[in-house]
Order: sequence, then structure tokens, then C-alpha cells
Amino acid sequence: MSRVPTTFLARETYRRRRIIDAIRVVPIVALLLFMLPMLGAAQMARSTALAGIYLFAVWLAAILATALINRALAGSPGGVGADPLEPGSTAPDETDP
Amino acid sequence: MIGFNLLVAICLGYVVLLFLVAFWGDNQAQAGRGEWLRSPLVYTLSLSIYCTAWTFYGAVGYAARTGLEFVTIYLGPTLVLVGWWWILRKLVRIGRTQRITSIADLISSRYGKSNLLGVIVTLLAVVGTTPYIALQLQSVVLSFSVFSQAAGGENPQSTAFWVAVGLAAFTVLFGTRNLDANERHHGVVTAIALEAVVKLVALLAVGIFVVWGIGGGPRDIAATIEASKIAAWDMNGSRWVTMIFLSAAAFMTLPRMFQVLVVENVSERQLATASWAFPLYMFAMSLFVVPIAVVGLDVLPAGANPDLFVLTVPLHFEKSTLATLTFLGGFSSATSMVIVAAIALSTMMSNHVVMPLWLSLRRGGAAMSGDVRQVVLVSRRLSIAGVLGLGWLYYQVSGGGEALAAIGLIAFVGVAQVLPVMIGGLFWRGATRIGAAAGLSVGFAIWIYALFLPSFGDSGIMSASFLENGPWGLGWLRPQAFFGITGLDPLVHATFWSMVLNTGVFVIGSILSFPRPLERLQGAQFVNVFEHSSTAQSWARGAAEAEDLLVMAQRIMGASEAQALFQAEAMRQGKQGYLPDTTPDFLRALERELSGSVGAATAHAMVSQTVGGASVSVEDLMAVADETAQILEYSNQLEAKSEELTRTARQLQQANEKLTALSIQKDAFLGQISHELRTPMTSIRAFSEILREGGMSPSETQKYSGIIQDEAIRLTRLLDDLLDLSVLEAGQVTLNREEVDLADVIERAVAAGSGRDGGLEIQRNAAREHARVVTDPDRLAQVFINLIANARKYCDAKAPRLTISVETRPDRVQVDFMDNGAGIPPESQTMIFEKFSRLTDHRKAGGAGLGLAICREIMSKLGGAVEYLPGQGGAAFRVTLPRERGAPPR
Repeated sequence: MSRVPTTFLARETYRRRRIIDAIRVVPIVALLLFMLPMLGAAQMARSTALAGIYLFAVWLAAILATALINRALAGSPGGVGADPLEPGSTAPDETDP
Repeated sequence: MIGFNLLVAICLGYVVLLFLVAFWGDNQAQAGRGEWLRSPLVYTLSLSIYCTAWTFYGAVGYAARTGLEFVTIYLGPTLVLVGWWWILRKLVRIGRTQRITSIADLISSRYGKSNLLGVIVTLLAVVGTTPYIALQLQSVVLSFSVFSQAAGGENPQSTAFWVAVGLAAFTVLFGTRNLDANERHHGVVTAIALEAVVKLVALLAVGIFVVWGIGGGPRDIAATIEASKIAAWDMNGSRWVTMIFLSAAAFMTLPRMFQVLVVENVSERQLATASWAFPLYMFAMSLFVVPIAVVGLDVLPAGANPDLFVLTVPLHFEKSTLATLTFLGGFSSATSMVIVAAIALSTMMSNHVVMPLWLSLRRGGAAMSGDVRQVVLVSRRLSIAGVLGLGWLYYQVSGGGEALAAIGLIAFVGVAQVLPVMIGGLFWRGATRIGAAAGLSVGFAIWIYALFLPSFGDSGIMSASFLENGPWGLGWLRPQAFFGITGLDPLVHATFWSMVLNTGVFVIGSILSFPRPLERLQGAQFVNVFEHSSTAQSWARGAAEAEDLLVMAQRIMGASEAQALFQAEAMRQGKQGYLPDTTPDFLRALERELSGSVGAATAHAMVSQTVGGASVSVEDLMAVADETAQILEYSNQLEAKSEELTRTARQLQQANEKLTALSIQKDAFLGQISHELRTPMTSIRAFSEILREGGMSPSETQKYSGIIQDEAIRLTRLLDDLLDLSVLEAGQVTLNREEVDLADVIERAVAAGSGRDGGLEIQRNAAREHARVVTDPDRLAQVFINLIANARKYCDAKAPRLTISVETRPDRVQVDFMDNGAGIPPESQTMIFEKFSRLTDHRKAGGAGLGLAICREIMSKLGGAVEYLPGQGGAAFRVTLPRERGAPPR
């Protein structure tokens, strides 16, 4: 990113590791948000339409977040599924002849 | 209102379209234009078989009964896909590196290629899927009946029957084209992608019609929702969580989902795209479900079946085109699910039930006679028919009532029993076969007892009092209230107890038991798939004969594929011909190749029958115990170096052997040639002396000069051959190349070679012999004549028979000459093309042993080759001719 020389080593690898962290976090956050309506289920007089809009909004946000993060992941030379910490993870795709 | 007959016609037209599309997809793939079939988009669309008729029609009914709870069916898969980095990435990678053919194969392969586990998972899948297929048949019948209420007179039983027959035909036709279950089913995938689009468009069209056509836009619909009885739904927290969990589990463990998600996957790129694109698809599928449900409740009479609102709402407003589109959408949902489920189940049944039985019935081993390919294909086809037959039978017996509608979730709980064993196998090295078998059995049993059997109602197997009081009055064993904990929803109850006890028994069983070596090896391969991407070496250098292996591989993979594999391996080892050394590496590669066709357990059993028992070497176990990446890296480098050395040494050794043999041959050549020249010379001299002395009758003179002439002819022939060979070897020969039909050349050779004693029967397939080649026809005919003459001379069968078969490839033509004699022993196979090499030294052969040497020289001048083809049951020679049109090499 920055053109200024820094002492930071393996900037690319570090960036990729954090993107992988991000993709791991998405389902956890989404699960929490999907279960949120349960908290007030008994007491609150909810609006079904609003609850529906809330669920669909979370759903769409999770989809968009995944799409964006995957775009960032796809740029790696080792392929979209490569992890710098795993020596064998850059195996070639399309194994089928 | 659209007429019933017109609807049937449209439906049949749609089916014809699907057949055409499937044919087209297969042809595209065969012509090499199928690249788009592997695109992430098609992969995403093929995942849509998750949305069956149960979700297409049922989601609206579900929403009408329990409000927003229906989305949980989609939220689980969304979480699994969005979190693909956690599980799916590993699952898909293992599926590709281990050539997994089904979920049963995955479990069996992970736990030491155990067939027991394969059988358990197959059984679970069949029991869980059969009612599901019945449900799809029911939905098609119901949707037909909506249209036929006006027309009347149609019989639902026969509709279900013909739908089942049609689906079986489609699946057999496009699902069992190629044996390799690891290959993509291009035709099926194309048809399913089309169906995915149809069902999405249909549901969106109804939704848009409902929101903007009937209601006055989103704001109005929101008000209608608040006013409807759906607004009164109660959120049940335990059901909410359970359903998200169940749908997430089922998304990975349903046999049909595993088939499209893992088996048909070719790259991680596909998965990365599907991780957001398929949730988007489900999002679109469920966006209008609640609006359709409230409008249906609003406008239709009170008793209307909410499961059919998607159809009945458009019909209520006289929109028959829209209703027909919806009908096709529902039809697509049902058929695509049934087709893929049948493919997945038939693969499991043939690989884990039929093949092991077949192998054990033929104790002689896989190398024995009989075409295994045919057995596998027939068993798959029968399994497909069997699966659909079972589904139809289930539909008949259950009567297609309300009970069937609940079966979707019940099936989810059933297949989810595989989840602990699968996840444990992917992430925990300590998971063992015994633990897995125990966990699976416990989960399966609880599912049957607490959910599946009670689902038939009190008229079924379990009576009301049984449900109320438990077996023998044991209250704590009540099917829907274990340990006296009452008040739980039956689904939540069964899910909770089956998963907890399944996982518990699996973990405890694994901790207490001890794995076999192969299990540990496979466990390390699976869990550490990203650390070292090679597969387990489970074969010590066996006493296996490469030729036996070739015979077996040909029966499973087909002759040309097996020969190509063996030839490539031999070339990699630096050897020529078709028989590589049976190194552990090669055995492992071969086993993996076979497991793509018949599953890991069966492939392992077949190879071990031929090799004579598997063994795990100390090095293998040390590699498992070795955790450090550096050591592995270092040993990998050493291994690569030593492999290179081995290869060089092998080449040197081969060259040395050949040189030694050549030197011996040279001495033999001189000896031979003096012998060959001397024998006729001696008789010529003797008889000419007799003639010179004179005093014989004319008949005697006639006889002696005849002998002299015969011997002189023999001498001349020998000298001709020698001259021919030396001219060929020196490269001074002129070739008269022209374009000819191969059939003419073969015809000429057969005509020239026959008629002398007629003992040899020659079998040909004239239709396949027509191939245009640019060659010297006289020289080529000389080669053919020589091969035919060899068969005539050396074939020692009682009824000698020579088969000439021609195979045309894009770059070359192969002509095989195979006789039914004893063949040539392996140690002589490399020598037969050398000069004066005659295996039998009797003079009846009548030649000097130069024939094959001349053949080889001619073929190399023609730019082709003649080789010995081992493993064909007799002596077999393959003549290869190039087919290029350009200037031939000089």
C-alpha cells in the first residue's frame, strides 16, 4: 500500500493473514446477529415485518461482506484458497484433467 | 384456466427440452468446449438442488404456519458457505486429493478405508433419502392435481409412477455414462443449472406479481403482514437454533449436496464464488415467501392448503401463464433433487455394497476374468432404479398424507448423524474407526427410535400408549421424552439427544480404542491435508507383477486408459514399454486412480488382492509421527534427490543390460550367420559334387539340382533380408509415401499371408479399419505380413486365432495384432525385436529371426513404432502410425 520504505517485514503475507481472519469472523458475527431476535422474543411485542426486514438485512450484509473479502483473497498468486502458514495449501486447482 | 391436457403437454415439452439440454451439455464437454461447465456460476447453480420441491412449495406453507421460522432452513447453509474457510475449504481439498466419490467414501477412506463404515453411512443415506424422494413425487402429484381439479379424471398413483420411471431413465442415461464417479456429469449439471434458473425465475415472478400486481408495493405488503395471522407467530428459541444447526449440517452431509459440493468440485475458485453467490440465490428464493403467504391467507378460502399457495394464488387471479411457470419451477425443484440424489446413492450402493460382495464372491481376485466395468455400471443402473422404486413404494405405502410433509426435517436429522464423524475426521487425528462406527450406530438408532418411527403417527409402528409410557412402562425411555425431560419439541428433542450421544460415544470410543496403521496414516493425510499434500504410502514394494496389475486396471478403467497410465509411469521411471516397476509410489497412484471409479475401500481391496496384502512401512509411520515442517521439507528434498538418482541408476542399469545383451548378440550374430550360410552351402556343395561325378538317372539329376536350387533360394532370401535390414538401418531407404486407406493395406497383408495352410483364423472388424494415413503401403504391408506370419508360426493354441483391431486417435492410428497363444515370457519381451532372436530354436520357423527387427526399422522410418503389448492373454503387437498431414519426418 504505502510507498514509504518501512521496517515492516513480509507486508503482503501479513495483509493476507488478516484478510483470512476477516473471512473467518464473518460467519461468527452473522450467527450472533441471526440469533439476536431470540433475546427479546418473549417480552417484546415485535413487528413481524420489521423482524423480517432485520433478518434479510443481516443476511444481505453477510453476503456482501463475503463477496468483498473473497475479491481481496482472489489476488493471491497461490490461488484463492492459499494460506501463507500452510505449506501445502497452494496446491494447483483443476486437478481434473 | 389452463387445461389439464395442455399442462401435461407443456410438462412433456419441458422434459424433452431437459433431455436435449443434457445431450447438448454432454456433447459440448466431449468436443472439448465444456470449459464454461466448470465455471463458478454453473457450480453455484448446481448447488441449488438444496432447494427441493419441499422448499419451493413448502416454504410458503411453512411461513403461513410458523412465520419467519422458514428462513432458518436457508440461514444454516448461508453460514456454512460464508464460513467456507473453516470447513468447506478443507473438505473440498480432501475430496480432490483423495478422489472421494461420495460421503460414504469420505468416511470410509478417512477411517482406514473401512468398508463397515461405508456400509453404515450408505444405509443411513438410503433410509434418510427414500422418504425425501417420496416427498418430491408427492409434490409433483399435488401440483398436477391443482390443475386437474377442474378437468378431473387423472389418477395420482399413475402420475407418481410415470414421473419415477421418467426420472430413472434420465438418471441412468446421463448419470452413468462414464464410470469415473469423480468425473463431472456434464449433461446432468447442464440440465440442473437450467432448472435452477427456472425455479428462481418462477418464484421471483410470483413474488413480484404478489407485491406489485396485487398489493400496492412493499409498504402495503408490510401492513398486510402486520394484519395477518402470521404476525402472531411465536419465536421458539430452541427450534430456531436447532433448525439453523440442522440445515447447516444437512447442507454438508446430504448425499446429493455432498455430490455437487465436493465430488463435482474442480477448484477452490468455484467454492470462493459460491460462498457468496449461493447465499444470494437462497436470499432471492426466500425474499417473497412471506408476502406470498399473507396474500394467500388473505384471498383464498380458509381451508386452502398453504403448501400450494405458490400455485393457487396465481390461479386465483386467473394468471394461467404465471401458474404454468410456477408449476415448471416446482417440477424442476423435484426432478433435479431426485436425479442427483439417485446418482449419489447409486454410487454409494455400488461402491460400498455391491462391489465388496462381488469381490468376496470371486475369491480368485480382481485380476480374474470378467469385465469389472460392466459390473459396476450395471450395479449403478440397478441401484438408481432401486432408489427410485423405493421412493415410489414409500409414497404408495405412506399414502402421501400430511405425515410426508414433515419428513424433510426428519431426513435432515438422519443425515446430520454423519456430521460428528465427518468433522472429527477432518480436524482430530485421534478419531478412530471403532469410535466412528459406535457413534454413527448410536446416533442412527436414536434417530430411528425418537423421530423416524414416531413420525408415522399412532397408527404406525408405535402406538399412542407406547409414546405416552415408554417401552415396558419404562418412563425414562419414552421416545419423545428421554430421562423424563418433557415439554421439548420432538424435533429438538431428537436432534439434541442423538447429536449429544452420537458425539459422546464417538469421542469416548476413539479415546479408548487403538487405530490400525492405515487409519493413522489416513488420519494424518486428512487432518494435515494442507501441510503435506501427498497421499499415504501404504504399499511396500510388493511382489506384484506389473502385468497382473495391468490386467486388473484394464478391466476397471478400460484398456486404453490403463495402458496410457502404465506407459506414462514407465516413462517417468525411465523405462520403455508398458510395464513400470511396481514401486510404492506407483501402487499408490494406481489405487487412487481406481478409487475414482469404485471407491477407496474397494480399490484398496482390489490392489491388495493383486499385490498380496498391504503393509505400512516404518518410514510411513515415522512420517506420520514427524510433525515438524522443516524435517518434512528436508526429507522431501532428500527424497526428490534420491528419486532422481534412482531414476538415473535405473536408466544406466537398463542401458548396461542392453549393451551386455548386444555384445552377446553380436557374437551370436557372427556365429548365427556363419551357421545360417554354412548349412545351405554344405548341401549345395555335396549335391553339386554328386552331380559332377555323373552317372545318374535323369530323375535323380532333377531331384538333386532341385535341392541345390531350393538351398540357393534360401541363401538368397537370407542375404536379401540382411541387405534389407542394413539398408534400413543405414537410413538409405527411399520410401514411396502416399495417402492410403489402412483397410486396403490390411486386406493386402491378410490376403498375402493366408492360403498356405489356413490353420489360423483371422478376426477383423472391417468397419473400424478405414483410416486415411500417409505412409509407404508396400513397407507397411510388409510389417503386417510379418506379424501375421509370426502368429501363424508361433501361436500354439489348439485353434489359433489372430485378432486385428484398429483404433483411430486424433494424432495416431493403432493397429493391434493379438493371438490366443501362450504369449511371450516377460524376460524375453525386450529381446524379440533384436536380430536373430528366435525364442524357439527349432528350424520349423524357417526364418533367420530377422523379421521383427526389420519391422521395427521400417516402422521407425515411417515415423511410427511397433511394440510388444503385454497383458492381453496372448502374444500381442501394437503398430502405431502417425496421422499428421504435414511433411512426414525423413
